[in-house]
Amino acid sequence: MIAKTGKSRRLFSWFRIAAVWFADRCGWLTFADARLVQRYLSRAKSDHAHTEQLVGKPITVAIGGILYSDVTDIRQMLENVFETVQRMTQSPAIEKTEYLRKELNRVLVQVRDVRDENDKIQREILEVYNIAELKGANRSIVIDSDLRKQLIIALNVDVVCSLHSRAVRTAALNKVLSQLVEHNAPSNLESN
Amino acid sequence: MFDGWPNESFVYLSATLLLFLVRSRDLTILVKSRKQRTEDEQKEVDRGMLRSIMLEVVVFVPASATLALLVILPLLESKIPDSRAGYAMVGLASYGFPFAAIRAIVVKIAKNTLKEFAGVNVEQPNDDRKNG
Repeated sequence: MIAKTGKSRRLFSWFRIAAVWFADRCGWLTFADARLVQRYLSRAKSDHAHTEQLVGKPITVAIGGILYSDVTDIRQMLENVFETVQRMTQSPAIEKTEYLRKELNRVLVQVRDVRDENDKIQREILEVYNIAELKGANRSIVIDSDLRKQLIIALNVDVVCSLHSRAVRTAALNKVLSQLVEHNAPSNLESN
Repeated sequence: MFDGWPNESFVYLSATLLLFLVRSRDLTILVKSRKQRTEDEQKEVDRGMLRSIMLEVVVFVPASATLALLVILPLLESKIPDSRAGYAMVGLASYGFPFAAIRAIVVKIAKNTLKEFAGVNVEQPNDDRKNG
């Protein structure tokens, strides 16, 4: 499932998908990571397959830092972030804030507890990074930006965040919200 | 040696020979046995290097040369000598345009797309060191 932000729309435009597919078929992407190409194409395919069913702006969030089981209300988290953004927003930008509130209500958040379903993929990735503790329920794990990038691709999600690291989840969700504002607000403000 | 060959055939011949020169590194890799290749070279072979060259030889270079014959040659007819060398020059040019130019554009778009895809939503703050 793809977050239907402006960035995603650009990233998965038919033109770009066609370019990647064609270049891959012709063997012009020998320099690129095969798995990355495969994930891009499969994600593009799934995006198009689900386009008709999508309501609002779906965002797939893998939570729990791939280890934890206590899945709390991700929408509440989003709203908390939104409140922060709203407080920081001054009156000249009130239209944008209102827009953001509307957008937030339309956000369809897909929450995936990915601890088990992709265990094999996770293990492969984590082994690359020499992180062995996969099953320890309450253990900490260091996820740097490289690993996060790998996980986002491997798990086919938009955001990987932990419920146990407020700074991380706020940063990740802020990024989602800022994308909504940055890419959608200017063109949609008038119609909303 | 080439007596009796139509001049147009030199367009195809020169374009194909240029292809061999340009892709000499790839051809060398393909000729090597699996044991002789480095890990990166083997990866490139696995990712479709042979397919890429075969497609160029069989489809893209002839198509590009045909387009050059149809479009470029009539435009430059008065400036290009009506000889083997003249036709061969058109063949050399036809490798660069349109084929190589289009390939470069497609690869650049694909590369930028994959780069963006890999980097989407990954920029994180420095305190992103615990629990993911």
